Amino acid sequence: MSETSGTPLPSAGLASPFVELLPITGAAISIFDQGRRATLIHATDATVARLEEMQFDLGEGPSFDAFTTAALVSVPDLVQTDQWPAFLRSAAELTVGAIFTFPLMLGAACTGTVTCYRSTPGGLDERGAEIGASLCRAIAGPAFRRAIFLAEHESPDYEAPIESRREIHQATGMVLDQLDISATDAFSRIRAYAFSSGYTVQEIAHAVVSRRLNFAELPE
Amino acid sequence: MHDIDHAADNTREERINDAFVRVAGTLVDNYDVVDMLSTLVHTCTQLLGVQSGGILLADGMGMLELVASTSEEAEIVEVMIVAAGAGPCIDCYNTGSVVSVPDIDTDSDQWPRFRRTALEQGFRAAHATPLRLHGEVIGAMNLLSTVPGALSERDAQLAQALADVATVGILHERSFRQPEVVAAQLHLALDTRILVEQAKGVLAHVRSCTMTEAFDALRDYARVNKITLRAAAEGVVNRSISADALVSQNG
Repeated sequence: MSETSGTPLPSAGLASPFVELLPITGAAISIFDQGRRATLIHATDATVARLEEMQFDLGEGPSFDAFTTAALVSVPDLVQTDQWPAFLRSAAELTVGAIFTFPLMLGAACTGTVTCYRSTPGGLDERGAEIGASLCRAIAGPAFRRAIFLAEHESPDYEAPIESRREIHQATGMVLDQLDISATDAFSRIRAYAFSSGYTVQEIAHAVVSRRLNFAELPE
Repeated sequence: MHDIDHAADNTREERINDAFVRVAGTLVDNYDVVDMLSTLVHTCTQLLGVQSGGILLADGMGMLELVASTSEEAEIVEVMIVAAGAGPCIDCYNTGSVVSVPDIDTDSDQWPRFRRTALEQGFRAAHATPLRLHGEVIGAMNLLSTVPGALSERDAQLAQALADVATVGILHERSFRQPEVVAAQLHLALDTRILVEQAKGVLAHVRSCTMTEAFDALRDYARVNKITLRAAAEGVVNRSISADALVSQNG
C-alpha cells in the first residue's frame, strides 16, 4: 500500500529502566544470532537505534565485543579511543560522548547486548555497572523468549508453551560438548538449525536431549 | 493410640526443627540458592507425606520458572511447569493465596492441560503455597500427591512456614528493604538454574547419563569440593572442570 522510508523505531520497552536508573541518555537492546547477525528489539531513542544499525552494518563496535567477550565494554569518551575506527567515523555524526555495552547472559550463553549511550563523555561507576548487570539479568528471560521467536518462522507468540525451555538449556550444554564450542555458539547453532530446518527451537532441543539429533553428525 | 501419635508428633517436630536448622545453616557466605531450595523442597515433601514438590520463581515478566524440584525427570518437571503456565501455581502467584486442589480429577476443569498431565503422571492432589515478602509475591511452592485429599490445616501451615524459609533463603534478610537487591537475587537464582541445566546437558552428553544422574553428579562434586552448585556448573560449561573429574567422583 504505502512506501516506508527507513525502518520504524522499535518500542522502548525493556530498555526504559536502563535510562531511568543509569546516568545515560538512551539505551537499546539487540539479540544476536549465529554469524554475528543482530536484531534490534528495543530502543529508547533514534540515536541509539542508529548506533546499533551502524555497528550491524560495519560488523564492528562495542556490541560485538561485549557479545564475544561476555563482559561489559565501557567507552567513557569516544574521542579518546582508537578502537573500531570505521564505527567511530560514522558515529561522529551523532551526538554521542560515551558508550557502555552490557552482555545479556543466559547462564553461560550470551544472547545479545544492551547498548547505553551518553550524549556527553563520562564514565560509569562501579555501582552503575552493578545496576546495569542486574537489569540485564532481569530482562534475560524475556530477551531469551524473543531470541527463540526470532529463530522460528512464526510470529512472536507470548502464549507459547514454556515446557521445553529447560530442554533448550540442556541441549545447549550437549551441543557445546558435541562441537567443542562455547555455550553462546551452541545456543546460536541450535537457533540457526531451527531457522533453516523449519522446526521450532524447542523441537530441535527435544531431539538433541532425547539423543535423536547429534550436531557433530550433521553435514557441514 | 495417643502415645503413638505423640511419638509421631515428636519425631515430626524434630524433623521440622532439623529442616529449619539445616536451611539456616546453609545461609552462610558460601551457599548456593538452587542447592538450598532443592534440599528444602525435598524435606517439605517428606514431612508432609507428598510425593513431589517444586519451587517456582517469577522472572522479570511475571512468568514462573521452576528453580528446584524433588525430581529432575522430564515428566515430573513437565507437570510442575504446566502448573506454572495454567494451573494452581500461577493462580497462587497471581492471587498471593494458597491454591488447594484436593482432587485433580474433579477440581481442575479450569486447567484442562494441567489436569491431563498431572493425572497421566499419577498425581491426584496439588497444594500451591505462595512465597511472600512484605505483601509481594515472588513465587510459589507446589506440592503434588498421588493420593486425593487436602492438606490438614496444620500441614498447610507447615507448608507456609517452609515456603517462608525458602523466601528468606533466596533473599537474605538484610536486603529485604532494597527492592533492587531483591530483584537481583531473584534473577541470580533463575540464572543459576539455567547454568545448572546447561551443565547437566554437558554431563549427560559426556557420560551418556540421564539428566537426574547429571544433576546428582554436579551436586556431589560441589559438596565434596566445597564450592557452590553455580560454581560447579560454571566450571563444567566453561570446561575449567573436566567432566572426567565428575565421572571419577561417582565411579
